[in-house]
Parts: sequence; structure tokens; C-alpha cells
Amino acid sequence: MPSDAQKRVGQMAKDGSAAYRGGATQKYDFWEDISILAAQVGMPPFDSYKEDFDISLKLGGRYSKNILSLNMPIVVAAMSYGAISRTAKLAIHDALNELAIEGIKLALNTGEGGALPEELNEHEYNLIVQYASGRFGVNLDYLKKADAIEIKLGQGAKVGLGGHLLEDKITEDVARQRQIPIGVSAFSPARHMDIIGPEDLDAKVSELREITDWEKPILVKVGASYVKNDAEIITKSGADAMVVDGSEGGTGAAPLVAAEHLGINTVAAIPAARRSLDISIQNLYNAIPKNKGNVELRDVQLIGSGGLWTSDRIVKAMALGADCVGIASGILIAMGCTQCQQCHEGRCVKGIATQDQELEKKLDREEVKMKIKNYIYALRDEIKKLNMAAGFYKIGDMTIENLRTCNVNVSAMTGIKMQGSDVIIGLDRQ
Amino acid sequence: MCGIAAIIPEKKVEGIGKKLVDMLIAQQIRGADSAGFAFYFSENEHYGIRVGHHVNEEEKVKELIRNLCSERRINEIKIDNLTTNSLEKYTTCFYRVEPEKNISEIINAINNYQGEAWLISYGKRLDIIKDIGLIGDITKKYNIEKLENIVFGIAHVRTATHTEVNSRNAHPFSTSAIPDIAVVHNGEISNYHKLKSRLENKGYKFFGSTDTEVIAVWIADRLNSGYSLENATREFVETADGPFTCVISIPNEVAFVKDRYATRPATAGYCREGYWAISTDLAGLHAVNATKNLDSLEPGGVRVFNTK
Repeated sequence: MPSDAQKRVGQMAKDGSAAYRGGATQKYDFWEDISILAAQVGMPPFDSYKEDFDISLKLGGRYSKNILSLNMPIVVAAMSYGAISRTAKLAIHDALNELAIEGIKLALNTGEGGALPEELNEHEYNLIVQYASGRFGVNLDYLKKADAIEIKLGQGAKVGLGGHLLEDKITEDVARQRQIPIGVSAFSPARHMDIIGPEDLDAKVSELREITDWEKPILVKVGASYVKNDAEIITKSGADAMVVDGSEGGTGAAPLVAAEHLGINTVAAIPAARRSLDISIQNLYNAIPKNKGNVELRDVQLIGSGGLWTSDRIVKAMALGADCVGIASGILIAMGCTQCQQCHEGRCVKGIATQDQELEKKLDREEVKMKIKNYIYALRDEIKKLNMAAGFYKIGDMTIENLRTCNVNVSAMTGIKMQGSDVIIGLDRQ
Repeated sequence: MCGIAAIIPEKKVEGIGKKLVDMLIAQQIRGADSAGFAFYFSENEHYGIRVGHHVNEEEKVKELIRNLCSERRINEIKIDNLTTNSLEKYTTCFYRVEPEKNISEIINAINNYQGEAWLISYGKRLDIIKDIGLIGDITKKYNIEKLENIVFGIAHVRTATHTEVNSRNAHPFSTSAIPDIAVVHNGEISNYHKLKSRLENKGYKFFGSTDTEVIAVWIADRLNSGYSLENATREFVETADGPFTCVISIPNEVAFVKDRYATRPATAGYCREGYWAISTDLAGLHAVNATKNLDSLEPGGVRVFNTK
């Protein structure tokens, strides 16, 4: 049997250029090695069958006038039109609208390909528009109609690279939406042309604040790598929230080697980001002159994403320090995606990651809408059960102290105590 | 499994120490690890500071406080040097300090002390006495029933669940963030790590790792921001998670609060002699004859009692 590396060499010798792939990396499953502590006698559990659980979340408000209210701490993370089909986008849109009407208001991130008119004008959910390096679809209307704006500096699946939309998926409609030429692969820049250092991010946040009259929460999304430093800079930039996307995050297309080897895991990135955000806020407090009295600084919120498909991963990610989580591949899998990792070719047999009219017909908008809704209902139910069994009646109160792990690597990476011994492997948490 | 007691007079009532002891004895079954009292005396001109320390640190801490006060007058009264129990390694000292402006220097020095020493309570009215053992023994040891000039007080018997049994972890708890605040608590603030890290970010000092100290600091932070005790407590119910019932006292006000499912028992009752009592077990109310107008609070309820 040839090894993977051996196969890769063969592929390279044949192609002469980097190989691509779509989908999400599943090299590690650290989440499986983490357990949630349940309440017993010292503190009793709450009854998820009989008692209420508060699962709502307020997002933003550090410096923004508006505060988004979510009925579940979940953002449907960035999947652009182009990477996935119009029908798929609309099915998600329909599902979230119906959920919002039923009282489960989530948030949807448009992705970097701009917003569909339906999303921009008919959303009942919270719409987060992405402001990425390619600036696809960005105009004043787009920013003004959004509920929040996300400055995307990078994504977990391919940290340090811009977006990739290969030529096969660039139809006339996609080209019009993104204002790009047809039939040429669209590679958005690896960095924003006007954000090349920390001070530029500061300026960009201020610029977007001014454009939107300081109303919209501003999020800054980074792919997980130098998480500690990035969190410090984001705190100083005045953003309302940080989005950290671990390397398990999915993508429509990425160079295979980038998808497999760039960036760090979500499980390590979230606690690192949380610690750094806390310390940054502490430093801001220390900088306040003593005679200023009791000044209240609001925390920078943290949205974690990358491979958070199931309720246990969501609860664990939140205990590790995320205030909210992003799910993208999870939604696609609910819609029928098999993670065949061929998204980049645009020949998705399920009609999701394609722009081919015939293939797209295979996707039943009504049917997948129901599947997405069911997926969200089930997540909601399971998140509630896990939290209440652990002795909480509100979401977002669990911390790393309520988790234990059976994997020394996970303990050393995250600071989670080992099961039984309560030892944390490694010493320096900074 | 802890027991709470409080006596909150509407007019002058004698023997508050004795009443609290009786209430605790009636509830001894709820906790035999340690017990403690927070007494509010009639207002004093000078600040009283109670400091706890490891036996080995006692002399060093005394020296530190003496030095801080050397140029000014200090009337240092060591009213107790615990302990009769050979297992216990902690002692406490009570200082009465004048003039007032010294106080923040001393509090800062204790906050920043490198070693096993911590502030138990400070203020013009408050003194906290707590120790390990059974309530009868503690009462004798500190002569609780003979203490005079007590205006009101709260008390507690503890069954340790999460932290070690020692006088340091016994209730009531106070904080260096604000004078004259005391908290007793039955239950568990399950999100206390989260609340604590936020308060630590703001620069508040924690001397231990119990959730009750977090309540004291959290409320102190709100009081510092200009909240009334009632509003601070109401916001606390919204913010805290888990099963808890607690009694929070500041000069002239005592707040009684339950979590949003009222998971832990406790009832307030009135006695015709002119005082309110709060007790975890009804036996505690019977012990002091405070069985009128019983109020167990709605789930998530807050009730503030006024006193002098």
C-alpha cells in the first residue's frame, strides 16, 4: 500500500502544481477525549425535562450601539454564494427565517461572496456580512442592511491564504454577484491591501464604525495560528468580538497542503484566545488612572468555530471560553453532504457545492430546509441537557473547570485538568 | 448542606449573639465542619480590621501593620489568638486603627502580602468570628453569648463540599473591596469561575477559592458603582447560576436571596419582640420564636430588610 505522502509525490509529479481539495480536515478528534463534569450531590443537577433553560445570547455592545439578540449561541458560519449553490444558500436562509419566526433566532454569516438579495432584504435572523480581502459584494447597502459586520482576516482551513473559487464554479450569476470576470479562478488576496499591521486593523474598525454610525457590532475573524497576539491586537482595535477559526474548519477549496498543515486546532485555539482576551482586558483596566473611579469595560466576546458539528463539541467549546460558536460544515452535513472533499471541482452530486444547474436540481429546497431545522432543534435540546446535568440553568456559565480530559496532549494544549487526578499537564499557561 | 441564620432587629434587641447561637444549634445537623458569625456593632469611630494568617506568619503581619501605623496612633487590640484545636494552623488578630486615613494603606498591604495572610473583615461596624468545630465549642471559646453592643448579625454552619475544612474557608465571607459587607451562603454558584475571572480582570483581590467570596466581591463591585443593595442583589440573581440561597449584609440592610428555582431552603420569620430572623431550617426560627409572617421567597426572589 502506498502511503499518503507517497501518493502525494505521484500527484505532484503528474500535475506540476499544488493539488486542491474542499471539505473539512478530520485528522484529529480531540473533542472525544474531553468530558463534561456532571453535578451530583455538592451541587444538584437541574432537570432538563421539567425545568427551563436560558439559552439566549447577546452579541456585541462593547462599542456598538446595537446588540444582537440570539436565542441560541450559534452563528451559521461563512459559506459564500459561489462555494455553495444558490439553492443551498436559500434553503439555509429559509430554515433560519422559519426558526426565527418560531422564536429561535440565530445569526447567518454571508461568507465573502456577498449577500443574496433575499438574505439582505428578507432576513428575520441576524445577518452578519463578511468584509473580506476580495471585497466581493461590499457596498454601502450591504453594510447598512447588515446586523453586524465581520472583518475576515483569515479562515481556519487555510490560514494565511485568501479565498479560492476555482473557475469551474464561476458562472455568469456568481461573476455578477462578485463583480469578477467569468471563467477565471478567483483568488482573493491573502491579506487586506489596507490591513497589513495592527494599527491598520484599528483604523479599519474605526472606518466601519463611522460608516455605520457606530451601530453595528464589528467582528474580526482570524484563522487560528498566533492566537494570543491576535487576540491582544483585536482587543486594542476596539472590535466587539473576535472570531477564531480552528484548522478543522471546512472550505470550498484550498490547496491540500494548506488545508492539512496550516494553523492550529480549534480545541487549542479557543482557550488560548480566551486567556489572551482576558489578560488584554485586565491590562486595559490597569491602564485606567486610579482617580477615574469604578470604570466598567465590556469584554471582547469570542466566537469559536472549526469542526464544531455536535452539541458536545459546542458545549465544550463554550466551556473553553467561546461565547458563541460558528457552524458551517455541520449545516452542510445536515443537508446531505458526505464530506467527499471534492467541493473545489464544482461537481457536488448532492447539489450543494456546485453551480451546475442540473446538479443543483438534485437539492430539494423544502426537504433540506427541514433537515437544517431538525438539526438545530436537536442541537438545542442536547445543549440544554448537557448544561442542566452539569448544574447550570443558563448558557455560557460553564468554564474550563467543568471539563476533564483523558488525553495528556489535550491537557497540555488547553489547560483542562486530567480526569481523576485533576492535574494540568504543563505549567506555563501564557 | 449548610445552615444560615440571621437576626435583623427593627428596634433595639438584647442578646443577639445568644439568639444566633440558638439558631445555629438548632441547625447543627446541617453542618458540623465549621461555623461563623458576622456581627455588626453600633458604629465605631475607628476602623476595625481582622486579619487571618498562618501561625508562622503572625509576627510578620503584626510587624507590618505596626510599621504602617508607627507614626500615627494605633490602638492594637489582639482579642484572640486561635486555636485550641491542634489540627488548625491558622490564627487571627483584630486591630483597631486610627486615624481613618491609614486604612487604605493597611488594606493594600494585606492585599499585596506575599505569604499566607488574608483579610477576614474590616469596617467601622463589622467583625467576623469563625472557626472549625461544633457550634457549642466555638461559642464557649469566643464567648459569643457575652458579646455586647451587637446591633444585628448573620451566622452560618458549614458542611464543606469543594474546599478544605479550616477556619479560612468558614463562612461568613467579606472582602477588601468595600468595608462592612458580609455574606453567608448555602449552595453553589456554579458559574463562579466565570464571575471570578471577570472580577479579577477588574483588579479585585481574592483571598481564597470559595464561591461565597465571589458573591461578596461581586456585590461590593456593584455597590462601588453606586447600586443599592437591592438592585445589586437583583442583578446578581440574573448573573449567577446554580443552586444558591444567600444572605448579604451591609450596615443597615440585609438582603435575602434565592436562585431562580429556589433550590435551597430558607425562610424569614418575624418575632413579636421586634426582629426578623432568617433560617435555613424552620427549627432555627422556632429556636428564637420568630414564626410570624413567614416568607420563603419566590424562586429568584430578593427581599431586603432594613435595620439600624
